[in-house]
This record gives sequence, C-alpha cells and structure tokens, in this order.
Amino acid sequence: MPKHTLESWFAGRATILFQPILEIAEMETFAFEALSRGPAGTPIENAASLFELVRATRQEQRADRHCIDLALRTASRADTTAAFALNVHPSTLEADGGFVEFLAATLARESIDPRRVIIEILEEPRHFDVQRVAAVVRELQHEGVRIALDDVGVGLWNYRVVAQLSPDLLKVDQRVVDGCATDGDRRSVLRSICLLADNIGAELVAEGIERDADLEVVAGLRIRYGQGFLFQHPGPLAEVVERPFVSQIPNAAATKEMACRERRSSSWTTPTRF
Amino acid sequence: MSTGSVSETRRMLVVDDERVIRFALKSYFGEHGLTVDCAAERDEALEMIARTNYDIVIADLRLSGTTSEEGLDVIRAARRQSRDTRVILLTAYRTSAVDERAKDLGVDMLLHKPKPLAQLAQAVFSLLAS
Repeated sequence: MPKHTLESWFAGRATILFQPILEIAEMETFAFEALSRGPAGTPIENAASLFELVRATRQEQRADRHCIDLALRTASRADTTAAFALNVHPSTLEADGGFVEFLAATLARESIDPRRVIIEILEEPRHFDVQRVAAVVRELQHEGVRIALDDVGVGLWNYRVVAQLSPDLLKVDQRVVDGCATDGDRRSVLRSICLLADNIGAELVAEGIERDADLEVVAGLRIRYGQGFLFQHPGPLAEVVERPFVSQIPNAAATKEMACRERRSSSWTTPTRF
Repeated sequence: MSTGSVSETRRMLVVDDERVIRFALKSYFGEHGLTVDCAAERDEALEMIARTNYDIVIADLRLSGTTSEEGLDVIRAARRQSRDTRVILLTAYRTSAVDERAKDLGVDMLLHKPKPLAQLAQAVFSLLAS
C-alpha cells in the first residue's frame, strides 16, 4: 500500500472519538471536538503517538483530510444540532491548496452547514507562513466556518500571530486552566488571555477542566465555554451526544448562575476576584 | 524526544503479524535514519536473520494464532546470528514463564504491548546507543 495513503488510514482501524464543549452559563453542549485515535493495540493507538508518526513522516495534510472525512461522516449521522470542532495543522492550511474546496465538498456531501464547523488550528513546532494561513482562514470564515486556535497560553502562539489570524475562538491550554483555583499565576495568565480575547473579539474555551473549583474560576472570569473530564471524557459520538455529562456536576446550578451573572455584567474589568 | 546518535547504516527488523504495526514502525524508524525490514511470520523472519546482520530486532511474541510463542524462536535465531544484535520482545501476554524464557535467550528488553510509539522509540535508541 503506498505510503501516501497512510496505509489506508491504518487499514480502516483508525477511529474517532468526540468530547463535548459546553457553554458554561447554560450547561449545554455547544460543540463536540473530534479526536483521532490510531488502531487499538498498536504503538500508535493514542493520539500523541499517532501524530508523532504523522509528523515524522510529514503526512499532516493526508492525516488531517482523513480525520475530517471520518469526523464529518460520523457527525452527519448524529442526533445533534451542536457544532463540530475539527483539528487541522497550520502546515496543512499553508500547503494544501485544495483544502477549502475539500472541506466545502465534504460538508456538502454530508449535508452539514458550514456554520456548524469550527476548524481548530493546532500548535505545530514548525515555522509556517502566517500570511498564507491567515488568507485561508479568511476564506473559511467567509464560508461561515469558525476558526479556533488550540492550546493558547503556554506554547507557540504569540500575540502577533493571534492578531493576524483573527480567530473566532481561543482555546486556553489545560496547563493554564488545571489548578487555576489555587494558583495565582495561572489566574493571572487567564486574565491576560481574557483581555486579549476581548480586544480581538474572540470567545474563549477553557480546556482541561477537571475540578469544580477551577470551573468556578473560569465562570467567574466570564469564559464562555469549557471542556474537560469534569464534564465528559472523549467517547463515541452517539454516547457523548446522549450523555454529555459524566456525572452530576457539584454546584452546577450555582456555577451556571454565576456565569450568567458575569455575562450580564457591563464591565469585564471588575470580574469576581479570586 | 532524543533519538540518540543513530547512523544511517543501522538496520532494524520488525517482526509482527499485524500489518499496521509493521507499517507504523517501518515508517517511523525509517524517517529516523534506520533501514527497516519487516517480516509477518516466523519463517520469513528466520530467513531474513540468516541473510542479514541486524543491529536491532523487534519481535512480537505471538506471530500466528493466540497461543504461539514464535517470537522466542526469532530471538533465539537473532542471538545465534550475532551477539551484538539487540533484541526487543513485545507482548500483551506477559507471564513470569515468558519473562524467564526470554531472559534465558538473551532478550534485551521485554515490553508490554501496546507500547506507545515514543516510549518504544526511546527503548530502541537507548539500546542502539549503548
């Protein structure tokens, strides 16, 4: 089998899981992030290993297309009106000249409205042409697709690039979110990202929420969306659609009320102090 | 992840009856400067070992069916061919009896399967560098 097919996306055994992203004020599903997994029982089963191989063999474009194709085929059969977040390497947006057409054709084939799609641009430890990627981002946004930047806060996204790409969403890295309730430095970083998002007109997704106390901080800072094991682990789409919450979230009602209150507040500069 | 100092002439043999595993390891280690051969079954592996001095052999314990331990035959052959060949045995069916037999045959590492790629790579490069 030719290498460029990634061995028929690993002999048809690669799978896709989904994790809910919730609107905190409503405690309702806003979107599902599609997460690829390699064939079970192999060294590339987990996502890190799978994409370690993809990047070592410079097959990001092929892998991204395979993942998107599988995710949207799965999404089209799901009983949900939520959006779907699809991961894409910046190198794919830079170098895959047919990507916008591919995405449009795939959405049309599956009868999915582009406004239900969020392209999550991954962090990639490789230089890319920001202007070229920004141009593709504009094309996608013109089609109604939303753009998110993944893992903001600890890695490679600098303010200049964030401003040039002008995303609709910033996904705050879980290493900033996890433990923010007891770490003043993390809360400072969160506030900084909130200010950035506010100034560029982007919404925020706090990733890796695993504790109630961290959710409280996130809600108090008026971060609109949350994702993490506190809500649900990645799973087959049908399962997470039916059950977006792994268990009853303690203080959910209080958190929801606080999030609603903070969003109605007219001044972001006086968020709840922690 | 550190790849150690691996020259392009290092040769690896991957012995596994799963096509995906052969493809993934050949692709990955090939990109990291190794020349990688693959065998899907014991006899094929034995023929290749007889012809080529490998620097490292990665073999699955069970190569055909669920009860075979043909990976041990591969280790035995690799050891007889060259004392310098490093050998890694992968298995999801690890027992103390298997541990004992593998060690008696001179296996360098016995790893539980599936081992994530980065950890497997670390094991390979640490053996090649030693």
